Amino acid sequence: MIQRGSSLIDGAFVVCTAFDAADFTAVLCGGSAATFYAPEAYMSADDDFVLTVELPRREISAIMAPLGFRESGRIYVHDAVVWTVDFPRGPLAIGRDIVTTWATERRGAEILHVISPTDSVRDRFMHYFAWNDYSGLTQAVAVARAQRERVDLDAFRAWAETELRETPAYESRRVEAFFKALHEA
Amino acid sequence: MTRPDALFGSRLRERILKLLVLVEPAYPRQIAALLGEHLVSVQNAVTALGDLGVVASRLVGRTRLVELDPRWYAAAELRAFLERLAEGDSEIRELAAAVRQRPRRPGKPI
Repeated sequence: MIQRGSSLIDGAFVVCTAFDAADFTAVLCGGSAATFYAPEAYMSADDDFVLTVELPRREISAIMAPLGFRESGRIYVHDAVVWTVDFPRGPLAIGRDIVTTWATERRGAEILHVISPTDSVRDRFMHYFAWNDYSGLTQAVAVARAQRERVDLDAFRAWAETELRETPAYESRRVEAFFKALHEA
Repeated sequence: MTRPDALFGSRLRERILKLLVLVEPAYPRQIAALLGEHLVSVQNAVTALGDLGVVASRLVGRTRLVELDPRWYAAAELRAFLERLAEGDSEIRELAAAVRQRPRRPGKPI
């Protein structure tokens, strides 16, 4: 149940559990996944869920309404909390990679599907890769530091090299900047 | 023959995408002026394309710049497809050719 003081991550568990109960899979991604993995370093303002099957808006609303959420433009808002919920269009992908596996966390009877720590690093880094967005770099580094044991840096580098080959606008110095920042910790 | 605009949902979306592959980033008012469309129509089309993940827009100062989103999972393939479509659209190519993207030295006469 969402109530005053419920955190972004509390809400993520509630929403994901509701979709799970309706036999749909909603995967937490974007900045909210980074907040899940590195709450001390980064606080997102909304829960981003990608659904593994595309649902009409009215079906999403039918699942969200009993939780107290109502549609406000593209997003869902709740009177008790300031954070919002968004359902970006799928497929779940990071750069050219379509993501088909994710982590599943449990908290009592609640469930949360969330992109893996490695994918969260890749997802945040994409903003730096594509737009030179320095905040994306800092978030990627924060997740990699907070989840040091779970992030596969070799996989990250291999993926980055593939993206560099496929997207000429990307620059390899940004990959090196990530590793430099990570090792400066 | 299948018209390309059927693939993108509207002729305006098709023209915006073909223009962007030649001229990016661009801002909505510029796109509207080039295409001879209403600004609101362009803004709505850009929003719809953004919801699909195909284009991204970001604020630079007070200007919203629109471009094909390189983070989209099929961005490279879409870009190649749009470049091919633009090759067959002389009007779009002429419009794009009129846009100066390179820097101009301050004080230099226009």
